Amino acid sequence: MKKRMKKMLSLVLSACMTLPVFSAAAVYAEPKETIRVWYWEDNDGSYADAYSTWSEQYPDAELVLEAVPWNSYHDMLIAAAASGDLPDVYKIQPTWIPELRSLGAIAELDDYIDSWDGKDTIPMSMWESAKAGQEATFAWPHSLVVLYLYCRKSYFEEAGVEYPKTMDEFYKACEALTKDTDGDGATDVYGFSMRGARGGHFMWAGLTLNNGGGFFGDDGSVVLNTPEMVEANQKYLDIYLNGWAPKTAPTDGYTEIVQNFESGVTGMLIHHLNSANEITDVLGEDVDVVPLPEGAAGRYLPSEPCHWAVSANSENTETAINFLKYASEEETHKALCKNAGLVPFITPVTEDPEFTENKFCAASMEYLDDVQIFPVCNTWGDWSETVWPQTMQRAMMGEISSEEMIQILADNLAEE
Amino acid sequence: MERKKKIQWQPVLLLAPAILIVVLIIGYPVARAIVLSLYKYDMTNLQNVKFIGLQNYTDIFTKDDAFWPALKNTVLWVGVTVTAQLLLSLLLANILNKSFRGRGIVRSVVLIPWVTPCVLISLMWAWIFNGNYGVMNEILKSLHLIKENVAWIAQPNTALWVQIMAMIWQGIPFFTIMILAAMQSVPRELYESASVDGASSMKQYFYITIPGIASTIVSTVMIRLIWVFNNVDIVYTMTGGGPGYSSLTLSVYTYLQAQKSMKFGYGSAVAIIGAILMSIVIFIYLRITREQGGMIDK
Amino acid sequence: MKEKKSIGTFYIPMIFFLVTVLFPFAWTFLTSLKKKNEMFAQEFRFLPAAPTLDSYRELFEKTDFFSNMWNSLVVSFATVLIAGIVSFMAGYALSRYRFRMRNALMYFFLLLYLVPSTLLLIPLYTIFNKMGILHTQLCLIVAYSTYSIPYSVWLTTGFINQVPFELEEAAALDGCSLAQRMFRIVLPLLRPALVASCSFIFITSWNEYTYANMFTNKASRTVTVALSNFMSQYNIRWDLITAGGIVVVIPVVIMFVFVQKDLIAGLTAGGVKG
Repeated sequence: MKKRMKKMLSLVLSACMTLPVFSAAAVYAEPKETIRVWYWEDNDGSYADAYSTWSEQYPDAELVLEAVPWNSYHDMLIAAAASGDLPDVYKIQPTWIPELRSLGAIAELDDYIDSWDGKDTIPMSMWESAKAGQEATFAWPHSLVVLYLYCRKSYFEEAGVEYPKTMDEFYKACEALTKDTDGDGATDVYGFSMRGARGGHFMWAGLTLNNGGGFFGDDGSVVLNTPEMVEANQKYLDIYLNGWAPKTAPTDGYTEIVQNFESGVTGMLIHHLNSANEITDVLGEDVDVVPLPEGAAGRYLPSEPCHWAVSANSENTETAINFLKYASEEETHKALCKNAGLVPFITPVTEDPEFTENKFCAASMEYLDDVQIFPVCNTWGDWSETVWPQTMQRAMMGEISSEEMIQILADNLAEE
Repeated sequence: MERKKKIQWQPVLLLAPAILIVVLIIGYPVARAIVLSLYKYDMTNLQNVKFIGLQNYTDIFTKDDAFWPALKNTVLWVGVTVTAQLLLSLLLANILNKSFRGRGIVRSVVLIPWVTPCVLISLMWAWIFNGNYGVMNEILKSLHLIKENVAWIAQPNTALWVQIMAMIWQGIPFFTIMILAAMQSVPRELYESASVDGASSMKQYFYITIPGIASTIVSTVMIRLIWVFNNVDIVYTMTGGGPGYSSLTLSVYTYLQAQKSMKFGYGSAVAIIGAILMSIVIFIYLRITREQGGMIDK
Repeated sequence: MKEKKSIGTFYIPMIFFLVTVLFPFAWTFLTSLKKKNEMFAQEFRFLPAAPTLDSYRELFEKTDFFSNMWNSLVVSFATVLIAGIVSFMAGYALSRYRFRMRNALMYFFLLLYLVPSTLLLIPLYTIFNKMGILHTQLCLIVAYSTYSIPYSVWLTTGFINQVPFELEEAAALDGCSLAQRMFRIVLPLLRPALVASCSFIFITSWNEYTYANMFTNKASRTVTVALSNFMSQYNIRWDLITAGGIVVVIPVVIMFVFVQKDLIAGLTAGGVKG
């Protein structure tokens, strides 16, 4: 027995020793410049493919692309920023800019942008999104997706309704698509894949703020709490309360709403281009897309832009900027949008028939000028990650009224 | 349990490595968390960090809608989970201690829940209890216990219980293994002489086995209390604490505040309150069990 | 030991346990054999219509799953070595000696762990970064050792309490040194208990996610992180997650088939007083 234990011990020890396990950090022997880039991927390998031509254009600088999984991306970024260990370039969402600024981790880019001759190939709206309401620009436009409405074609035909163009038509469609198909008294098909869990504020904003509301007024005060907003919010809650959304809706997150749509439990889904491939894989031709319905005040199309940021501690800022310019070139932008399922925004890629003739991409680009970007403020992270889902779920369960819900949302948005 | 007086450097040497490793690595972060709880410290707004004394604490007790539901859920979550785990594992350990064919395989198989990563456990259970295509609804429907699909995870009165079930499932093997190991150290002669005296096996169990393994039960329950209290993965992955506050526990609330909302000061204060309440529970528990456990002195 | 096993107290509970333990797993396994559109099909089916092993093939051919498993194994074994020895020593001291501050120490080990790891992540990241071991297996080994030492100190203290002290006293009279007593007398008697607490350390490290998620990179990633990374922002690879979940459990269960005998080897009949 003792012998066996000894044998096992020595086996383990030798296994630990012989492998180069304790020195995982790679050594770069060449004296040439290295720039490290952190990003999260939407499709495996899409970035490495799109940026494979870098070494031809910049043979003196080595590009090290490090894909960090989405689950840990934000946590790692903050920890790295707090300990001064950031890569030269990293992908961000605009709402993270305040915290990265307060950590002193993000470099100002205005001078570089102003002196760049390709500035006009990127539309003003994207530069504004990158500026994120700050007094200087800290980010460089990288990618864009815009919400639209997926409709299950056969369900609409069967119910004899058109794809909704206005909010009234949308609610009618929700009701018309909801059905008990096998006559057992229980609903089998629901109108709309509603999302009550984290991230549901995107579709919520798209379907309620088109009634004339907004988050902040011009003077920076919160203007969310209006009677119109309470009314629009009540209608939205009614989708669930009337039984037009699955009973699981309060805790449904991204996976669940997409599954529900793919499996035929629901007839409508709000999401963006990123899920198009997956959904067509399952549903084939039985799916169409239309822009989000119009409310009393027009369209409100929430978008999710992502940007590049440069570390304030980078020793190779010039090369980092070269990488940003390289990433905004026609060929690289096109390759990335194609590989990763993103909406192109750089001219002339926006006119490329490969994108304009794809129905999903076309629906994303149709109202590109109406695209809305969520406010960037200190309270946003807490509001969107914690306050919104909790408050929404409480309202769906009837614990609080629409009025109280909007009140709580407005209170928590206000800066202290 | 009287011990002879010993020269006191021996325990110091024996304890030194454990204390050193723990204090060196974890001492500073823990101290920092305690200090941060007295500050307004939001990662999104580091220019505005300021010392606010106990204001985080008073806010939690007086202004926070989520705290009291979270506290109530934590009591249920920890209490029900650990009790059920203990009772079920006593039963299981007793079965596995008997000799029967295939015992080795069975003993290894019951270990499965424990070696399953938490991420997978929550996905698995969420999948089984899925309100639209979950297998649980199908089973209950075919047994005519329910008429239509139930949204187990999205309903305030069932969400926490699904998570408690998953947690019980996960923890039984650990308890069982510990109890099984402890049962081996109960001297066999005791059972033999009891049999000669004509004691029933039930009696033997309560008068010989249970006292013999009491110390292990005490320490295992202890560890489990803390582990279950601290677990975030299962609740967060399944419901994120929802719907509303109905499955929110103090640890998940801390996680949401610190990691998701980036309010480290406030999050630390929630964590410290939890830690204080938990240490009161532990203190009382160890007082009550010190006869059986011998883990602390009088 | 011949025992009578009745249906009510033996077979029924046994079957109950086996079914509860295995059902979620069996369900996961069946799911891993299904094609995606069948997983969410409206019409419910227990068995896959056209079972496929594609997910397993992709898991082994296209992902780093094996090297992730190797990382987990290395980290867990190293942690068992360090934490196992250190906490046996500490547990012995806490069980066999009475000194001032003993209670304080016992509480100290516990209370430190009431502070959730969420709050420790950023400071630990900074510490490991300064030590230069961030993103290596070593930093996980250090983190897991600190994480499991307090728990296993408590476990071993409890176990050693159950070994009668008289045995050692007799040996001490015969002139045995402390080390001899610890390793010649207590250790063999504690075999089942030590196997149990080492399994505890091993499995705790094997399952850990929060630290592994933050402190590793592609090269040092462990299996729990790899598994949850099959969920990306807009895509959950159910096929890979379920297949990976099955694969991850297998080595540990096989290992335990061998180890479990030691759990039972137990005390020799002679020399133990009641």
